[in-house]
Order: sequence, then structure tokens, then C-alpha cells
Amino acid sequence: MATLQDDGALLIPDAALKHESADSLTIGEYREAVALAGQNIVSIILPVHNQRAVLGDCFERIKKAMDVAGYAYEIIVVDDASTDGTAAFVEGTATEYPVQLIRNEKSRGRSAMVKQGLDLSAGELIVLFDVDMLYSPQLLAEMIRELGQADIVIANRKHYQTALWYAVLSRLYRWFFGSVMLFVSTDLRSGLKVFKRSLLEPLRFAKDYDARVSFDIFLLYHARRAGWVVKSLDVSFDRRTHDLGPAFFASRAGVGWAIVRLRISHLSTMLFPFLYPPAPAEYFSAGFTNVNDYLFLTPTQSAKGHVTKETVSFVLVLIFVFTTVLFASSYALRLPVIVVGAATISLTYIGLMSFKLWMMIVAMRNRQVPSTQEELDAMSVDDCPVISMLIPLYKEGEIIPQIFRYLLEFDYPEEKLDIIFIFESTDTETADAFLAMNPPPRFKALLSPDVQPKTKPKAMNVAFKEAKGDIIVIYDAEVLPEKDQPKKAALMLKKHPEAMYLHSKMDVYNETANWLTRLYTGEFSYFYDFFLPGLVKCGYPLPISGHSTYFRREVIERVGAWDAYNVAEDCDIGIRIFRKGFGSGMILESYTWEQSTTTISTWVRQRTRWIQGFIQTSIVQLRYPLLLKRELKGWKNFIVFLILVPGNVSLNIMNIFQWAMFGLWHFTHAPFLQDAYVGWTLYLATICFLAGNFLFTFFGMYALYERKHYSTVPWSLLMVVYWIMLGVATIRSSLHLFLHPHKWDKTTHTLAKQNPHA
Amino acid sequence: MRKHPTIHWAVWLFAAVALADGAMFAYLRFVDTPGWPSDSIAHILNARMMLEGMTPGFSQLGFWPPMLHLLLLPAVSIDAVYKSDVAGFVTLFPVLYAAAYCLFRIVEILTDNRKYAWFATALFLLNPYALYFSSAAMTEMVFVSAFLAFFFFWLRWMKGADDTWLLCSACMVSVCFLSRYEGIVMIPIVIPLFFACALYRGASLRQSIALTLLSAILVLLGIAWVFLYGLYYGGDPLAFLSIGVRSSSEASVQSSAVLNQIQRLTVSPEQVVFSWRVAMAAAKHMMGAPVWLVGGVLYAFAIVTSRNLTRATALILASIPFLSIFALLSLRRAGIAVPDVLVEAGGRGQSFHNTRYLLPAIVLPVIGSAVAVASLRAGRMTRIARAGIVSVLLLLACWNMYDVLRIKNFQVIRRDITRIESVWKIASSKTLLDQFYDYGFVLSVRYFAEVAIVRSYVPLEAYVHEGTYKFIRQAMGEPWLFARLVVVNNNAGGPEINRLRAVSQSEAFRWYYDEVYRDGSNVVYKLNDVALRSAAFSLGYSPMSIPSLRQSFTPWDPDEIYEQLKAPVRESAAR
Repeated sequence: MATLQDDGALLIPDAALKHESADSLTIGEYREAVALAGQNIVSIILPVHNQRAVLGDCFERIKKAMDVAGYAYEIIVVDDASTDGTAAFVEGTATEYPVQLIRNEKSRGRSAMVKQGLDLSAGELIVLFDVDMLYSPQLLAEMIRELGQADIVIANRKHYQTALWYAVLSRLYRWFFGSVMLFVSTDLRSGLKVFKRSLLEPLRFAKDYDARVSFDIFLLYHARRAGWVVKSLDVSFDRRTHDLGPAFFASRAGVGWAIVRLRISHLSTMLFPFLYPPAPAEYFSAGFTNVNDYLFLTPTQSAKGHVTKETVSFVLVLIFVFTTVLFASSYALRLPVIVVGAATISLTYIGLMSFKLWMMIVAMRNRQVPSTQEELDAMSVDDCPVISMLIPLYKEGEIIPQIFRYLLEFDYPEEKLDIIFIFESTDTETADAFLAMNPPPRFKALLSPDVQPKTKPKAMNVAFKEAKGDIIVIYDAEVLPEKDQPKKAALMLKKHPEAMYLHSKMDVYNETANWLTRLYTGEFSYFYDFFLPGLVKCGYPLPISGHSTYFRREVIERVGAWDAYNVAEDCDIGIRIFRKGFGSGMILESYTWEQSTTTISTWVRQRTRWIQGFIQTSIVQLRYPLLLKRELKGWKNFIVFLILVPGNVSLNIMNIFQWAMFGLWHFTHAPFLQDAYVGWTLYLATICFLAGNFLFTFFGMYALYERKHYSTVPWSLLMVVYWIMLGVATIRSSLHLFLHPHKWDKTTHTLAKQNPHA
Repeated sequence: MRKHPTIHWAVWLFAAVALADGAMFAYLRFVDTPGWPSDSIAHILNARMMLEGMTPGFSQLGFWPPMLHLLLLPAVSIDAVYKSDVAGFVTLFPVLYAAAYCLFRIVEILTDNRKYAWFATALFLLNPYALYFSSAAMTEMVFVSAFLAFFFFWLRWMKGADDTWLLCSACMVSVCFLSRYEGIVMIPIVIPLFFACALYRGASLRQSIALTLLSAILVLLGIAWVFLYGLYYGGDPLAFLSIGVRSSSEASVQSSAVLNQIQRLTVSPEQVVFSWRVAMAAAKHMMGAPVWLVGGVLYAFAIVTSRNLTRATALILASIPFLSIFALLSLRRAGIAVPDVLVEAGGRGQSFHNTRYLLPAIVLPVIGSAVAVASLRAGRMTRIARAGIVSVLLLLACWNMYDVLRIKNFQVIRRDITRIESVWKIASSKTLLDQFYDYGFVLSVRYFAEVAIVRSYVPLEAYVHEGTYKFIRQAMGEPWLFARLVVVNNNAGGPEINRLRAVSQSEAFRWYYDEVYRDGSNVVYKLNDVALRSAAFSLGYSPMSIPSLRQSFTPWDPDEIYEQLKAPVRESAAR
């Protein structure tokens, strides 16, 4: 179809477009004829209400103007529940003019009428035309021609006869709402506007579109923001009627209010971008084609550019709200700010503690029934779906024999195991070790391309593109899963079609190496026996394990795989899975033994990475907190997310804080502490500190006892030391977030002596 | 035929406990009104002062066993309950029910027969003192309940329940200690017991050690609490051992040095023999001689004939409440006097004194009798013998009830009650303080205050006493600067009482205060405002900074008050 010429002229076919033969053409046929002629139609939209008397004259003027200019056109009359026979009149003129009628049984307002007209229109050029204005016929053609150099052309009413006071008010109105509020110095209420249809597309996706706002104003407002060229043509005309009654002023006030609302909305979008969800194009994963960095998520969902304007704005608002509430509470309760602050910290601590205790009670009361051996034995080969096992390795050649051993010992049909090893392309040492083991042909090996970021999630994304299985599972190099784990997983997923993924339980095989590994074991025992089952039972959003989690394939596909830039991709994907509506999974009653770090330095490095990932996940997920709340299906899950992800990080800091306060108070009796902890705040702090430390030490011991790690039970008395170390790692991770946001600080694993396969 | 739904035995038990306890409370309240022990009123006051007073909070918990005070908190937070006599009853009724429930289950498990459980529970509920101390706000029933809960949880575990039952049992040992300090005796007994039982149940050595460690932590929780409380509020972790220290009075607590406490833990053969006699006599008074003797014999029979190690151990455990008091008496850590033993032990001669300490020993004859009767071999004659023994014991228990209520009229515990009767009389007039009080602070000591304070309408914030130790220390120096009313007790002893008495005899005191009331026990002094104002003027004190002249209850800062007082009058007025 031909486009508008540079000089604004349209190429018009002859007879068909003269509308001389309109008697025999429907509007559809007319449009078709114009299209066949390779020409455009000008759609002229007339919103009317009880204006039958002027319509005939108006049609005639339009016809004259268009005929003179030689443009094809269509008139769309939107009748807003007129009672003066407007509709009948329009229908009666259909043979005379190319006119279509939209009739509203109930009045819907001008903005809605314009939208209705736009929806019906087919022209590449749109004209908004108020029928009560007596524009000169030549003006319309002139304005259309001007579209060659502009996107919108407006008839700027300049010279018309009116009273002085009205003229002054009108100028003031135009100046304030036009120049000040919208930054356009044109006639805001001009009844004649011409613009290109192509402008409607971006408007449709505008986040702040509000049907209540006058469409004309909305168009001008976006013209300014989108950099469209707006032209004004000064016109003088005689007004047909000049009723300065309440309705007249109400109409202008309505437009003014619409402009103010738009500005507020615009200001709010600028100041609080986190309140406005991203456009779908910014939010939905674009498929699995990106080979630049193997990130299959949109940037809004990734930690790639982790500090965005949304995050900064959200954090500032949080600080502002927190400070305001703090001072307001201080004023209302007539307590010093420091007391309210200390009480807030203590209450938060008690809240987190209570939540953990509640989860523990739920976990203890809802033990899952494991699959029986009979059920496992009854599974035929056909019952076993293909499981893709992704095994990312980096500088772990030493452990490859161990990996081969457990892979070969799995009690699962060989042909149903799709095993994929992924090596970094620069890590030839591990690849050589792999080849030296003469791997069976069904073991696939992939080289992760030498592009940034060099992280485990990127390697997994690379592998996922090649994975064929219906079930996906990741195994780390140093882990030792139970032999029947894949079978148990397959059986469970078959028995529970509603379960979208399964959490295996973790334990530690080098528990007795030293005090650190014992405490690590205690932590795992508590988490996997007393905490995770509670979260799963309650159906809360939760961070998942980095390995041994069995996903249905569609889960990974739908969430866009792992965030290649998040250093705790497991935490992130757990939350994203929940957001997509896949729930909290189920507990798989099968253990994977893993290796605990054995030195403080490796432990701190590992924890730094994990906690850094938790911070990254908090930042990414909270970019649009309201959207997050909606996708997590309510405030309850949203609060649980806050507790589990940012709250977990905060708890580590609060532990350090409470210990520091306790130590300072005990040894120095510093006056400021005595001021901060007075009366009930002292009790709160003491209860949460002493009771919290005692309870979780005790439950850690009990969890170890339940797992039959009897010799480790007494070591758990040192758990407080472990928590202090966690606090240190948390502080370190906060620094790392700024210094090395995407660096994968790989935990070194060796073949531990306690490893039963060593 | 339609089957009638059966009512669970626990509901029947609840009804029985409610009937017995309610009847006893009604009897005590409306028929015979011996009143409550002074300690009972003090417990209520202590609990209330945690919520209200010049320095509310944990500092008011004091060095008494805290469990009762904590349990009383909900009741005393309601004004009507606090001011009336029902706070103890309301709080302890659920405790009594818990005790009866656990006793029922214990006997049921030991005998495999619910009939004997009913029998044991009936014996328990027919004890007049068990019911009396479930109406008065005293610690004995809390201890009995906690002990029976410990016993029940342990027994369930021994009968094959999972290890959480043992942990619950360990928790109850802590509750026992927090209920009454003789619970400390349980600690060295139960920790080895748990270890041995774990081995007996077939656990490996490592598992047994781990389980014992877990239980030991819970067993020691109570004592850890008390140690920490003593350390932070009294400066001495063993402050609780100082019997007679009744509040967080700094001066009193600091005198109980750790070494001093340990040195006082001496034992001699004579003391052991003496203690045995005292304990036996006190137990006899608490349970009634016939029940105690028959029950004791049956208890011994049950142990001797027991063929089951668990049952034998359980029966031995039932003696812990008795043995605890016996042990403490032997260590001179409990003061009990009974007329049966003429030699003075607790400083109280031949009168009854603290015999109630032996009330928890009721567990021994009650459980012993039920198990003994149940262990008689089957046979026709045995059935008759069983019925006979049960009937006799129940009749004896009923007789004891009648004897205590109607014949002896609570003679055994009446001394404790009469000891405060003089104060009670004063309080019953309700006007002792109310008629003199206008505003400001009242300097008193608790010995006087307990009943009078509870009954009076003077707000608790107005009292300066041992509980507000920072303030009482300063107020004792120049009381006229702080208190408008001073109540001096002339009968009782104790560091604060003696000190206040001495202060009240000074010339300066007489200058500032006028005596407005005197009876056999107490003297009430009221501030002479004119004298104080003229003295303040001549000394250059600012009257606006003198707490005794203020109408508000804002506590003064003990460290800064004199600086404020000495500030120039004009400057102070300008401020």
C-alpha cells in the first residue's frame, strides 16, 4: 500500500475514490477499492451528542474539502446516546457520504467515543473532528498535507470573537495545562486534530494509559515524551454556539483534571518505577536462542544489571518509610527513637524466630511417607521416563572417578538416562580426566563456550539446550546420591502429577573431619528435616537446592532456565518457579550426600557466594514488588519470601548485632545501650537473643540426633560460633556484591577421606 | 438399639477435679474461713508487681521460685481477680487437673487397669491439703503437677514412645525446679537415670550419651534461668539459696556470697536421723497418719513384689518428693518444725511450721497403694482383699478429710495462717493506708505490705519497698525527702525491716513525721509538710524537686536526685 508522500499529498485513484458511485458500495467494498488502488483512506472521527442539526452541514464541508484535495475518506460518527434522531439522520446519509455509525445506548463520554471510532477506523491518517466548530474546508486538506513534516497536526484556534474575560481565562488555561503541565504550547481543546495511525501502536502498550483520561490529552502527552513532531496551524473561525454555562466549565475542568492526573501518573512512574510492572516484552523469556551469554531471561528477571532504577527507588522509599514510621512511632509512643529502633530489631528477630519454629512444628507433624521397595520393584522400563542429568564440572578432574561410579551404579534403565557433562572450554584438565576414564558412549560431554559469565548456571543453560529428558536433575561433582534416587523420583512424579519438582534430602559424608564439618552437618540436618518439609507442606515460595532437585522439563522451559548471572541460581529459580505457579514441590525421601567444606577460608568463600546470591535474588525479585506479590498469590507468600530470602540475610546480620550489643552491655555497660534497652525492650531483646540462640542450638542438636549423627550432637553446642561466622560471611558478601557481582567463587572439592567411595 | 456415646474418662476426671476443688474452695470461702497463708498473698502481690508498680517487670519476680508468679500473671492482671480471693483458685485449678490427669495415666500404665487409676486419683483428691493448696496461691501443687508430668512423660518413653517424650520429661524437671527449689535434688538423680534407661531401652552407648546430653540441657534449663536471674538482678547466681531473701533487695542478696552458700551445705549423721523423723512426721500430718502408714506399707510391698524393672524404677521415682525434702533437711536447707519431734530444727520449736513442704510426698502412698493392690495375684480371695484394701484406704482418706476440716480445723497449717492474722485484721478494715494516704510515695517493707497493699486502694506505683531496691536504698537515708507515709513493722525481722525501724527512731525522723496510727505490729507515720517545706527553704532545696512533695509517681533518679534538690530554687522554678 502506498504511503504518504513527503509533501503530504496522497495519490488518489479516480472514479472509485470520488465516491460518486457510493450508492452501490458498502463501506467495506469502498475500503477494498481504495486499497486495490494502492491508496490510503483518511478516517474522520466525529463524536456527537444531540448534534443532528449541524451534521448535514458538517458532512458537506468535509466532502467539499476532501474532494477539492482529492483524498479518499471515511466518516465515522460515534453517537453518544443522542435523542434528537442523530442516528437516523446518519443512516439516511449513508448513500450520500462514506459514513459509518457507532451508536451507544448509554452515554460513555468523549474519550470512550474516540476510542470506539479509532477501533473501527481503517485509515492511515486519522482526523478527530468536533462537529460544532466551523472550520474552513480548506483547512482539513492543508492539515493533512502538513503531516508530511509532522506526526500530529492541530488546529490552533487563534482568532475568534469572544469576551475579554473569556479570552484571558482561556489563555491562562492553555498556558498552565499546556505549557506548564504538558510542555506543549498548542490548543489543548482544539476540535480538529490530524495524526498518523502508526502513533496508535505505541500508545496501546503505554503503561499509564487510562481510559478515563481524554484521548486527545493522552495523545499530546505521549507526543512530547516520545519525541513526535507536533505542528499547529493557526485558524480563525466563528463559533456556532457559545454557551458559558456550568457544563462548559465542567468540561474544561475535566480536561484540566485529566492532565493533572497524567502528570501525577508520569511523576509517579519516574519516582516509583518499581510500582509499575514492566511491559510484557520486557518480562517474558524470549526462548532459548541467546548464545551471547546464554541468558534466557529478560534483563528485568536477571541479576545481569542488578542495580536498576527500580531497585534504587524501592530502597530509597523503604528507607523513607522505615524512618518515617520509626519517628512517628517514637512520637506516638513517647519513646526515644533508639528504643523504638531496638524494639523493632528485636520484634523482627522474634518474628523470624517464630516463623522458623512454626515451620519446625509443621515439619515434625507432617512426615512424608516414602515410597516402598515393592513400588520401586514394580516399575518397568516403560514406567521410567528419560532423566537428563546435568553435571557441570570445573577443575574437578580428581573427582571424576567418583562421579562415574555413582552414575554407573544408578538403579535405573541405562537407556533412560541422558547424562551430560559440561566443562568450561578453558578447563582442559578436567576434560582430559574425563576422556581418560573412557566414558561410555551414552555419556555426553559439552564444552561451555568461552563467553562471560563463567558460572555454573550458564553451564547448565548450555547443557539444558541439549537435554532430552522429561525430567531434569543437576548433580554437583562431589555429591553421592542414593542408587535408587532417580527411580524414586520418577515414581513420585508419576504418583503425584501435581508435583512439579522434588527436593532430595541432603546429608554430609565427611561429617567427622573436623568441628566445622560437624556444624555444617548440624545445619543441614536442621534445614532438611525440620525446616524445608514445613515450607513444602505449607506451600510457601522457597529457595531450592543447587543439586539433586528433580524438575519436570516444562518447569525449566517455562521459567526460562537458570539466571546465568546469579551466583545462587538455585535460590533464584526456586522463587521464579513459584511465581510461574508451579508451587513448592514435594520432598523426595532420598538422600544425597555431599561434601562439607573443611577449612574456614573455603567455608567463608562458599557462604559468601551463597549469601551474595540471596542478596542478588532479593534485588531481582523485588524490582517490581507489587508484581511479585501478585505472582506469589498474596501477601502471605510475599512475606514468607521476605523472610526466607532477604530475611535470611538480615538474620545473619542481626545475630552479629545482637551479640555485639550483648557483649558491649555486659562488658562496658555503655550508657547508650542502657538508654536503648529499657523496660520491655530489654526483655524483648533478651528473650529473642537468649531464647533464640538456645532454641536453635537445641533443635540443631535434636535434628542431628534424629539423623543418628550421635557423635556430632555435642558439637552442635558450638553452633553460636557458626552463626557468628555466618554473620561475617554476610558482611563479606555485601562487599562482594559491589566488587565482584557475578564472580563464581568456586568451592574447591577434593576426594575426602570420609568419602565411602574414596 | 441405639448405642449411647461414651464419655471420655478425661471428661469424668475433669468433672471429679472440678467438683472436689470447687467444693473445697467454697468450703474455705464460705463455711470455714481460715484465710490464706501470708506467702500466698505475697505471691499474688509479687505477680501483680511485675505488671504494675514503681519498677514493674522481671526485677519484681524476686528470688522465690518463679513458676507460680508466671502462672499467676493472667489472673492478677484482672483487677477483680487480683483484689479478691480467687486468683490462686483460678490459676491452680488447671494445675490440679493436670496433676490428676498425669497421676491417672501413670497408674493406668503401671497397673494396666483403669480402675486402679480411678482409685489412686480418688485418694489424691480426697486429701484436704492437696485441695487447700490448689485454692491458695502456693507453689506446692505446681510442684506436684510438674513432678507427675515428669513422671508420666518418662513412663511413656520407657513404655516405647519416641524420644520426644523423654525430652518433655526433662523439661518438666526444670519446671519442678522453677516451682520449688527442692526440685534441685531431682537433677543429679534424673540425668544418670535417663542415661541408664536409654541403655536399658537398647540404645547404643553413643546414642545414649547424645540423648542424655539433650535431656540434660533441658533438665538444667530451670537452674540456668535461676542462676542468670540471680546474677543479673542480685549479683549472685546462688542468691536463690538465701532463704529469707524475698525480693531483689541488693543489700540482702549480696550478702549471700557463693562460697558462703557452699560452706553452709554441711551434713551430719545426727541431722540425717533428725531430718528423717521430721520429714516422716510432717508427711503424716499432711496425709493423715492412717493413709500415710498404710500407703507406705503398700508402697514398700509394691517395690518388693515388683518383677518388672520399669515398674520398680517408677515406684522408686515416686519417692523423690519425699526424699527431696529429706535431703534438704539433712543439709539444713529447709525449715520444718513439727510437734512430734521435740528437738528444734527450723528455729520454730514445737509448733507446726512449713509442714506443707511434705505435701508432694502424697505421690508415694497414692501410687504405691494402687500398684500394690493391682499386683496382688489373681484369685477369689485376692479380689476380696483388693476390694477391702481399696475400701479401707478410701474410708481412711475420707476420715482424714473430715478430721482436718471439721475436727482439727486445719490445725496443721493454721499457724502459717494465724501468723498473718494480725495484719489481716488491719487489712480487713481497709482503711489503714487509705485513710491517711493523699498522694506521693509510701515507704514500707513487704512484711507489712502484702495483705494491706493488696486490699488497699493506694496504687502500687506509690510503694517504695524492697522490690524497688535502688529507690529504697536511697529512701532509707532521708525518708522524708521521698515518702509521705512510712509504715514500720515492729514484730518481724529482716534487714530492711530492722533498718527502717532504726531510721524511724532517729530524731530527724520524728521531726519530719507525725505518728498517725499504732497497733501491736505496725506504726504508720505521715509526713509533716510544714516541717519539710521550712527545712527545704533553710537548706536551699527546691521544693519542686522533692519527691515526697510531688503529686506524680515519676520515680526519681537515685543518682541525680540530690543534685536536683540542691539546685537554686529560682532556677528550678524557671525551668
